Parts: sequence; C-alpha cells; structure tokens
Amino acid sequence: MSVADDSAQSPVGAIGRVTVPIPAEGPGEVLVAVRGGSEAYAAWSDRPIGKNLRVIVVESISARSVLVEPFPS
Amino acid sequence: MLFWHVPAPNEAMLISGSKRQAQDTQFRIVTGHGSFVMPIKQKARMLSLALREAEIVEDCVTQQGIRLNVRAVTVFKVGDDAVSIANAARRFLAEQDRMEELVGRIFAGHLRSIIGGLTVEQIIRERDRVAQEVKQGSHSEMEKLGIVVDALQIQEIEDATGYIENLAAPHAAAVASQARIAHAKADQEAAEREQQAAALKAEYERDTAIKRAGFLAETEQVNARAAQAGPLAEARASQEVIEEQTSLATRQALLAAQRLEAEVRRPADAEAYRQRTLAEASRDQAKFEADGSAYAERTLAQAQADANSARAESLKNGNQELIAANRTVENLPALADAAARGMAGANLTVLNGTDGLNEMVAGLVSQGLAILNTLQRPTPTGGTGNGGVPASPNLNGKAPARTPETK
Repeated sequence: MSVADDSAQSPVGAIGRVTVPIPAEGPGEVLVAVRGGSEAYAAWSDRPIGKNLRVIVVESISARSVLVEPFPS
Repeated sequence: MLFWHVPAPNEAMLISGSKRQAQDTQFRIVTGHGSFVMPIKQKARMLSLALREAEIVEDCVTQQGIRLNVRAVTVFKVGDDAVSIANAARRFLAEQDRMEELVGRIFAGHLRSIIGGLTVEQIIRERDRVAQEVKQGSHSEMEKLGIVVDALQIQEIEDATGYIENLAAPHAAAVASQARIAHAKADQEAAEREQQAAALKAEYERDTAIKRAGFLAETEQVNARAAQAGPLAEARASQEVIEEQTSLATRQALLAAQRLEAEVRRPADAEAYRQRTLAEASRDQAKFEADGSAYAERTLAQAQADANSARAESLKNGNQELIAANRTVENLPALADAAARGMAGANLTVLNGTDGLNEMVAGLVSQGLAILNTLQRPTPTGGTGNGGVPASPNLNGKAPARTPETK
C-alpha cells in the first residue's frame, strides 16, 4: 500500500497564482491547486513576480515551500 | 464497526503500531477514508486539521524605533500534506487543546520581527508588505511545526508616543481647517442670504408702505372729493331749485299777464265786442225789421192777391170743397176764439190720442190762430206756430186791427 491518499501529492507542475508578491530574495506566496483544493505555498523565484500573476511550480523545496517560474503567456 | 475507524474530513487519523509505513514515519497517516485498526496491536489517534486562531498582544518596535503596542490575531491550521501532519502530530497531538496558546506564544516573537521590518506607515497602509513580512518572518519557523499561517490580522495599534496622532495631525488640521473654512463659508453664505433676505424684506416693506401711503392719499383725495361733492351737489341742486323758481316766477308772471289778459282785457274786449255786436245786431235788426215789414207787406199783398184770385177761380169752378175751406178760413178767427176761450176757462187737459176730435180741435185752434195771425198781421211775429196761444185781448171775433208791436 504505497500511497493510500493524496496527502503526499506534490504541487510540482501545478499552475498557481501569486497572492503575495514575490520579492527578489524573500518568499512570496502562491495559491496552487492541489489535492482537490487550493493551498498556499511559500514561493521563491529568481526574479520578483507581482501579485495575481500566474506562475508554474518548478520545484518543491520543502513541504510548504516551492520554486516558481512566471507562466509563459 | 468496532475496529473500523473513519476520520472526519477535517481530521487526519494517525495509526501507530503498523509495520507498513508509507512515508518513513513511525505511524501511518490516513486522511479522507477509513481504515481497519487492529484492537491491541494498533492505536489510532485523530489530529484536527481545522482552522484555529490565536490572539497576540505584544509590545513591538518599528523600523523607525517607535514603540507600539500591537494586538493581532493569527489564523492558522495544520497543513494538509503528510509532512506537515507528521510534524504537527509529533508536536501537538497530546496538546491539541493548547495548540492556540502555544502557537500564539511562538508567533508573538515572529510578530515582533515582522513589525521590526516595517515602518508605521507601511503597517498602516501596505497590506502586501505586511503579508510579505509575515511570510518572511514566520514561514520557515511555522513549517517546522507543520503549521500553515493563513492570515495575520493586526487589530489594534496603541501608540504611546503619539506618533500616529502626529502623523495624522497635519491631515487632521488641514481637514479641520477645511471644515472650519467650509463652516465659515456656510455661515457667511447663510448670513449673506439672511442679510439679502432682510434687505429684500425691508425693500418689500418700504414698497408696501409707499403703496399703502399712496392708497391712503388716494382714499383721502377721493374722500375729500366725496365730501366736496355733497355741498357741490347741494349748491348745484339749490342752483337748479333757484333756476326752477326763477322759471316758475317767470311762468307765474306770464300766467299773471295771461290772467290779466284773460280776466281784464278779454272781458273788456268781449264787452266791447258785445257792445259792438249788440249795436250791430240792433242796427241789423232795425234794418231787417224794416226789410221784413216791407217784405211782409209785399208778401201779404201777394198772398191776398193770390187768395183772391184763387177764390175767384174756385168760385168760378164751383168747387165745394174749396168753398168749405174758404168758409172755414173765414170762420177761423171765431172758431179759434171759441176754442181758446173754452180751453182757458175749463181745467181741461187735452191729451194726444184720447180723442180724435179734441186733437183736431186743438190742432185747429193752434193752426187756425197761427194762420190767422199770419194772414191778418201786417208784420211777422217771432212766433213759430208752435201752438202757443197769444193771450191777446184783440182777438174778439173781429178782424184784428193792425197795431205796431214793440219788442
């Protein structure tokens, strides 16, 4: 019984929306659709991303922290 | 079921004692479905994933070094992923009811660092900066506890130094001054309007007074005219009366003159006229009498002649009737005399229609006398032959002598 529920589902690859602007060196916040709901992750990026922009999660740093890239429109 | 445990949607079931561990934890985490828990070998515990809140009151110092007493509410929950559940379970499973208190205490320090990275103006105005600071200051720490901070609400900032008030002072003063200016303007405008209204009122009052005075003057004028009108009319009336009286006097004089004329002159004239007429009449009468007597004599003579010729003719023809008539004519004076005497002597009234003889006699009497008079008198009498018997003493049966009659 490897994974019996969605609790281990990873947000990587999911598309999220910035709820707190991401500064260059600090965490912002992204709202990512995961596990049938939407969860807020602390997000880091190599460039500042403004509020309400769509991003794609490229890597999960920890359980509640992700690396994001601006979603190419 | 006795051994079948199902966690609520907002709960995670932690089953320990199982050898089958999915995520290298010492216990199995079950969310969203049920699981069989063996009675003695295994133990199941529930960890609530529900939202919790902690109230924090903390003295903080801002970036500018201003001391603030901040009262904030943090809203948090255990994260839904396995790692967060495991972390939270390891820390709070036995003390779930004290979780708010513990998290609140932990978060108070974070609040201090969060406020320390911000200025008062940012705290007041910039929500995004505050949220960023919350993330930056508390995220990694909370992640260790398996807790996700959903929101931090700063409810009250007490400012001992009066910094915020001073910050607000210019605006407040400006607003207050604007308010005062507006108030003053409004007052001024109101006063202006009131003054205008008063001025208008005064103007209207003046106009009214003027009009009233004008009307009063007009009324008085009319009254005076009316008052004058009485005597004037009276004078006019008396003048008319005098005129009437004058005309009356004139008329009376005229009347008197007329009366004089009528009563004095006319009668005098009439008398004169009468005298003149009488004189004329007497003259005419005399003349007529003279003429008449001449005519009568002439006519009598003619009649005598005619009669004589007629007699002669009748005698010649032997007409008995005419002879009788002649006799009657001849005897007429005697008949008439006898009849007159008889009637004069007797109280006898001869009525028409009683006796043909009487009538005849009366007719004869009257006619006979008239005829006799006509025939025998040389002058015409004023009698008309109406049966009036002249009581002449001359009728004594003879032929009456011709005597001149005085009138």
